[in-house]
Amino acid sequence: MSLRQAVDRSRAYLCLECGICTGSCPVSRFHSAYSPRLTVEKALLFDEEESLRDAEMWACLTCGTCDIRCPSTVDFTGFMRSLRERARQIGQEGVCTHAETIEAVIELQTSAHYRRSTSWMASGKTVGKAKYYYFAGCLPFLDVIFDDIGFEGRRIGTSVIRILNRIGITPAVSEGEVCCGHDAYWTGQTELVETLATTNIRAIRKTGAKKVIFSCPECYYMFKHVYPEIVGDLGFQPVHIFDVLVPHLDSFKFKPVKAKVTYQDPCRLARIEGVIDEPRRALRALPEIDFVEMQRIGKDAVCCASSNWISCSRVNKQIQLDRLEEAISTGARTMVTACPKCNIHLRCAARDDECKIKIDIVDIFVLLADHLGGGKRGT
Amino acid sequence: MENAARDGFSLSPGTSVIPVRCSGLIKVSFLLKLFAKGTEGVLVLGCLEQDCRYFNGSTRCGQIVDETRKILELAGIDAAKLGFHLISESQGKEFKKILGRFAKRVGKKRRRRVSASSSR
Amino acid sequence: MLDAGRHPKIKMLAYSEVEGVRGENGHFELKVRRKARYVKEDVCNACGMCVSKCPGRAPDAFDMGLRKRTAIYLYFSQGIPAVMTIDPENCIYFTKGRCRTCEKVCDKGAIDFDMKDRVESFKVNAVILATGLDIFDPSDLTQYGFGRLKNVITGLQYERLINATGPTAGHLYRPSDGKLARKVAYVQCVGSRDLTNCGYCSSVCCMYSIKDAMLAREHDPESVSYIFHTDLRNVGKWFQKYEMRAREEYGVKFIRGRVAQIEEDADCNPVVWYEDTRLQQVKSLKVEMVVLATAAMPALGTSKLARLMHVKTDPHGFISTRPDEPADTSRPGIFACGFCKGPCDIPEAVSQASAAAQRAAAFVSTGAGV
Repeated sequence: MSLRQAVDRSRAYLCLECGICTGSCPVSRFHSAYSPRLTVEKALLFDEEESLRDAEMWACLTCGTCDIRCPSTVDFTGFMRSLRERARQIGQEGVCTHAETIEAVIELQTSAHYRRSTSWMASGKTVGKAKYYYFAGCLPFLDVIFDDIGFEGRRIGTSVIRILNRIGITPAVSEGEVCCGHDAYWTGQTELVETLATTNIRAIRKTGAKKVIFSCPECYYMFKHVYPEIVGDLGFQPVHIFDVLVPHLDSFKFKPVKAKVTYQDPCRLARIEGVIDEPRRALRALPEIDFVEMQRIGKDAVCCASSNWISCSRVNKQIQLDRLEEAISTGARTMVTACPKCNIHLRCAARDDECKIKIDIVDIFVLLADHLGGGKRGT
Repeated sequence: MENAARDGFSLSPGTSVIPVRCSGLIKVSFLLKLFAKGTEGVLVLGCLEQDCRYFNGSTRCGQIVDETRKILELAGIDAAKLGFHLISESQGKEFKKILGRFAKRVGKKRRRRVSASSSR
Repeated sequence: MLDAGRHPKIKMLAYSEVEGVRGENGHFELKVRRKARYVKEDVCNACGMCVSKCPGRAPDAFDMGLRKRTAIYLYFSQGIPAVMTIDPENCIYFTKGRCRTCEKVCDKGAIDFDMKDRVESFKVNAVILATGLDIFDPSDLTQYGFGRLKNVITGLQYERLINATGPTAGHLYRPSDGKLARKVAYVQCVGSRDLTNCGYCSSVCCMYSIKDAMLAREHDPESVSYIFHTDLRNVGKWFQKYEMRAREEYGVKFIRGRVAQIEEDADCNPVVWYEDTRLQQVKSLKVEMVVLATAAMPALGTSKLARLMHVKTDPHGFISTRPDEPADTSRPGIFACGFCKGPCDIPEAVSQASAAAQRAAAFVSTGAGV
């Protein structure tokens, strides 16, 4: 896509140069060289070479704060994505974090003899064919890669299955499932996204599922908004686990949680899907919990500062530490998240020496599943 | 390898050698990408732990191989296809034996890679 | 307004709502619901005895909720007609079945709890719509924290604070702790020039914010004001000069950059985050109070009224008028003026009102329009 097309499609020409995007940007707050407003203004001069040469284009977290605040409704993250796609075509790439491990895992998943293991989910009940499908995404792989910081991805997956089992759902899982392609999408790797999307849809259709349940907000986003653009009708409905879980909250008898906790809203879930109340209702359903809010919540929540595995610099660390400080100032010593990435990135920052007061990062589904009482099965 | 060659050893066709400066510098992504490209087996060879010039290169390599094996298993690929041995360059015979055993285990499939560290 | 209220040929129906229109082309029959005040309009002289004894309480709409009023109340002191009204939702007698204190203390006997709404019909030859504006609710823009951060208020709330008859008798005592606010930020374009909310310029906010900032300095020479703006739209004779006076004589600071977010420190001081687009830097500024220049939009019932009247509205909900005859709506005999047909300031609304009155008079005198 040319720069002109990117401008037209994102309606960047409506820019008022008001600066609300840059003022809202978590990166710009700590890194003055990056400014969404100036990126757009530069693009409007239609000097493609100049725009593509800008290495700062990979600094965008695609968190979408600028998108929802822009008074002219400029789709800035969409514009960034087009720009990155174009940059890739001329051989420019962002610098992958974690020594490309995650990229390599995705590459492995597209190879011919890949068959994903499902045995790690054995603690819950799953089947090969069912009305519901559970899409675990990269959780098991992230578990191995981030084992050193104590991230337990598999436990998130098994917790979700335990919750589903309690509701009375035995979800299908598949060995043909691959990465959802979220990060490939935002870094402009269109072809890879198409391959992953078709592979996933083929695998899920084989199970006969009519509803696909997601716990990862990014996978959910891809299935809900991007896949239909690629393959048309999915043949099933993507649903987030909160939609399934919340109506049953009253029937669960949770064990008490004696802790002061706060909640980190994931970008895709809160800002794009507007799922803000549901996780809070789930947390408040836990007896004796002392739930406190940070200042920047819901649509104004701050990104965990590394959304596409392409930026992990001093700036990202500063954003994370700033967020942790905000969480700690509420008095909470446990931060609950609903996104594996928030979990990984904030967990990493919380282990940093600069994070003076320690705070635990806990996944909401792990917390809920661990406190499921012995009560009756929900209806 | 030179020691083994002196004893009349040669690599079978389809096997290639990738020299690295230190086995501890191999990245998980590097090994995974070899498998993604369809390589049947990867044998990682490093110096003996006590011989490491960088103190913990070989130990680090062990961790990397462990992590890679776990990922391979999750991806439904037999972890045994990733071999790992620490030997000294003077152990020519040992090298021959290891390679022979690994080739057998990986099977008759042809594409193999040997990733050897050669710090000296 | 007082003149109009006293004019022998003007009949004023306050506290009433148009419910239906029949006929056309200069022969309209309006059905008007005259809501029950539970106070006899011709007897009450607004002495205030009832107000001093009434135990019911509700947020005062005229004071933008900054203080409470009683259940029997006078909407505002200069209102026409100057009579009390009982708000049945907050009246103890209407909600709990006993009290009637106002009835006991009123020596005129003006209270009538049995009063009912009446629907009256009027034959008229022309109608002028002048329903005015409501302000955009800024709590939808969660990043500004209105409703959550105590010291973030709207421009209209500020008007009440700085007004001598307002809840603080004209002192800028901020809501959180009643301390005098000396460092105030004015945030422009809250909801206006915003395609997801009000996609037009409200046209009055730049000027009233400058006025507010100057007033603050007049009340307190040590006050400092910051106006955060997109572009200053001082469109009008002398308006530019007014801005220059604010800069030079009143020390008002103008910062170009739309405010991104408002946070709060431990002492409830709002912290404004913004990009200073001239310096190309993201900055924060700690102030003592923030005033949001909220978008103005057609009054809430405007679309309903337009449907009743069979007149067209534009996509923003304003009454559409003819480009060549700006007071004429899409239906002959129905005219519009003021903010219900588009953003305008007070002088403009006044001249529009004269124009609409002229058009209506011409329409009536020729029988069926010109």
